[in-house]
Amino acid sequence: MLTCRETTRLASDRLERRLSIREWLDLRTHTLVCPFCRRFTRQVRRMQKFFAMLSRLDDHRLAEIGQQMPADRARMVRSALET
Amino acid sequence: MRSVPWDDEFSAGSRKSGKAGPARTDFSVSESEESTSEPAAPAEAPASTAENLSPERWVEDHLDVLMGYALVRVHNREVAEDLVQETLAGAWFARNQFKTRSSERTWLIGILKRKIVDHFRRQWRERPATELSPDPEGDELIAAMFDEKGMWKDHRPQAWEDPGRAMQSREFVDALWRCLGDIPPRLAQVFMLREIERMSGKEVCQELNVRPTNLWQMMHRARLGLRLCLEKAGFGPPSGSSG
Repeated sequence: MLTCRETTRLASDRLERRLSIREWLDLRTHTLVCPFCRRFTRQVRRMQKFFAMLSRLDDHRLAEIGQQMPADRARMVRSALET
Repeated sequence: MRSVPWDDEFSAGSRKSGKAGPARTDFSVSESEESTSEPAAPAEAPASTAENLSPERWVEDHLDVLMGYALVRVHNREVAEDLVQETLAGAWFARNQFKTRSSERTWLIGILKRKIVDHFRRQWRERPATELSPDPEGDELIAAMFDEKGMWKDHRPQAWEDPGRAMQSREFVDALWRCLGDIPPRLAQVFMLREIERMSGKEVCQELNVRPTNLWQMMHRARLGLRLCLEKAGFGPPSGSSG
């Protein structure tokens, strides 16, 4: 039986590459009996969706995040463009 | 797993993620509304030609959005500012190459995106992953998470509340962003290129000059770190019962 450490690695790898049948069975067997690794497996899949959100922030939200740029820096950018 | 030829190792993963890619639709309804409400050119960006451009106007129109875009990805205000400044200055000098049929902002973001990847690549070249210790910070993270028998230590995954509507909230986005700054920077960079920039594993390996197995190891560690951070940030059970 795999350790939790190995199991979480397979749960992550499953999002990166195709697992072998053996690996897939090992993952299934462990997560069947281990609630923590079962949660981990579910949660990393959900995280993939969560973080994809950051790539789709609309311009309005991006501007909010970027707005705190110091004024002197903004002036520097302007002068860099003007020269 | 390491004897499989390079391309084959990836074909499965990238095909899978490619399929899931742009059409990851199982988000809530209002979120897909959000993504349809941001079509190509934002309202305030003028349809400009090379003639009516002024530097002043450019900074006004695009600086904040570019800064936001960079900050979400590099987690360092000074670096983000440098990259945005380089982008604006570089693009300004090359503004005649800008084709008006695409949005000016899309064009700028394309340049910025490339600058961000280049920035990561420079950092990785300065401190390449060695065979012996590709990822020392990640080793620490693993040691904090699992005991010597490979079992969960103190940070066993808890059941997560369904974020549901919270997913549209500012707090939710802030938590994701903060947690990317919370894990070791190199892990965050790899994770960012894969899951935010949506590059394939193969592309990330080529850009950063790492081997697939290193990439997978780092993705595993990034996910362990991010998962824990998100749980602490309130994705877990409401009362912080641990153990």
